Amino acid sequence: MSTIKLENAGFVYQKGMPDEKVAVSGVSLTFEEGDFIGIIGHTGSGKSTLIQMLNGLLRPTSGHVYIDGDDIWDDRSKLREKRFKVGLVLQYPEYQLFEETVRKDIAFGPKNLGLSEEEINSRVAEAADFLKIPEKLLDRSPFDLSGGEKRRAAIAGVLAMRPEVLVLDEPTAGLDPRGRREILDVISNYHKAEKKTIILVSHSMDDVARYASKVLVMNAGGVFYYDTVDEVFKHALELRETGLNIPTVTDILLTLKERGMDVDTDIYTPARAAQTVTQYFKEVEAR
Amino acid sequence: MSNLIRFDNVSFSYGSNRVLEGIDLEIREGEFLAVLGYNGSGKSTMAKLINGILLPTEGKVYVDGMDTSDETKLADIRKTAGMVFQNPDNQIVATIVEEDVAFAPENLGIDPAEIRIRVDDAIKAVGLEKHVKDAPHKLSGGQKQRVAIAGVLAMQPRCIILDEPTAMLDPKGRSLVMGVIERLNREKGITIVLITHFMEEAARADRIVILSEGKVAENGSPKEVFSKKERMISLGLEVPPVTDLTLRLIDNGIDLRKDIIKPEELVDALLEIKETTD
Repeated sequence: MSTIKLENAGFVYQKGMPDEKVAVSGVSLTFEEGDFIGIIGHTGSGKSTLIQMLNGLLRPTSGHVYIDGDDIWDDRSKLREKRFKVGLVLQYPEYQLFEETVRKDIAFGPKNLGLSEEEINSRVAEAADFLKIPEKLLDRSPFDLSGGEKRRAAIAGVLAMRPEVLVLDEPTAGLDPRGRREILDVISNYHKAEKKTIILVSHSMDDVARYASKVLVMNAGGVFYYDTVDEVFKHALELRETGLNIPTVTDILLTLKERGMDVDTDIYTPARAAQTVTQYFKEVEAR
Repeated sequence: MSNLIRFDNVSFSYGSNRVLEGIDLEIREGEFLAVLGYNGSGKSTMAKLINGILLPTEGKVYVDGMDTSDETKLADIRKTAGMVFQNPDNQIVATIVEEDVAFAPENLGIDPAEIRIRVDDAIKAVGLEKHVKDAPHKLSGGQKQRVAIAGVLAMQPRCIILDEPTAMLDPKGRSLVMGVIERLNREKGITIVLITHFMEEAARADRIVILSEGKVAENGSPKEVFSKKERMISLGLEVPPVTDLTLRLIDNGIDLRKDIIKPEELVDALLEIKETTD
């Protein structure tokens, strides 16, 4: 189990050059072990830069990143070991599939860890099982799979490394609704079964609200909110004012409230939205 | 309005894999049609059949009366129906925005003065006037996708087919691209065929066609299609959140129409009920 802590972490691209660009600045927060954290924010808000600092792909230009209390950049000889604790699934990970078979592709990471044949096989089987990749697909070329299957195969390759923390950047981009649901469900099941930390970057506030327990809202390279889903949605109005894409039902409730209907607005699911609106009409009727 | 595009009993197979089967479909000039379906349902194949990138295994596709399998008509067909793909990076060829937009008309051998007018108009239509001299790789995804749309516009097509044009964009880029698509349809009367996975985008179309297992599973207005929630889910799709909320409210005994598909419609309907109960 691992805890990731950022202390005043910042990152500047092209530092010292005329076109230097501050992507992240002064971020201090802790990703507690076992949490399911959703990260949202505009394009350019620093989300992708932040997650690349979590496993040492980018070195902060200021501040520190700690994994289990150790600054990952303190001892370069241990960086590799630290890095393996945090599995990063980049956007469109299926573009990185390259092996002849799905099985070999999932096995690529564990193989590089120098694990025994037996251990590799068991990890591949376990990762494939979590990602709902049927045995018969394992010996096919990854390029023969459907879009959703390819995506799951690529994520399985990261899971087979058994990371303590799984970070996913927009894992549902470009998938159909069923494919989106499937991916998020397997991630959620994995989280429940293994109690590993999940960090999910998403454009969809609806998805974050449905699956995550905590939300990190990034804005202009810094932390705008970092709290439980319920707490963050108490600020739905502020979120909307910064131009963030809030769940459709929250948006509707905010508009109703502005126009004189006394409904709850810290709500992000259709089921609860239906409740508060129904409740409102019942009370009006009772009066 | 007359039909601009017609699928006449069209089937298509990749080798032994049958992707489309017996499609009959007519798309009217000036219509905004959204095509939905899970991945692998045949949507992209259908798009590629329209402008002759693929030819039917059986049946015929006609664009403005021209048979897509008639090679002598192919250039005219592609001038009539232009295509925009999912990944903007794969469609941009030049190093400056305006040169990219000019690429296709230049290849058609159009008079340079005319090209200038077309390029300026196209760039204006997608709202990229400030970026004419920029390098496309410096633009955001949504801006790049609008460059791709401008490139197609410069061909002055009567129909634009867009294959998941917003799949790789963030919400802001998505809404800007959708705004451009709607404007081209409403103001310039360009026929739009939009393939998408986003139900909210489909809700803005005049008509929705849903493909499933290579066949047309549903064909109707967004209101007709989205009011069938169970059917949508069985087709691997979903209804927009606003429709979901509306259907739940109806279940709770609130008197709403089943076919609400836009947030403002629901807000107005609820406020109207409020007025009558106050």
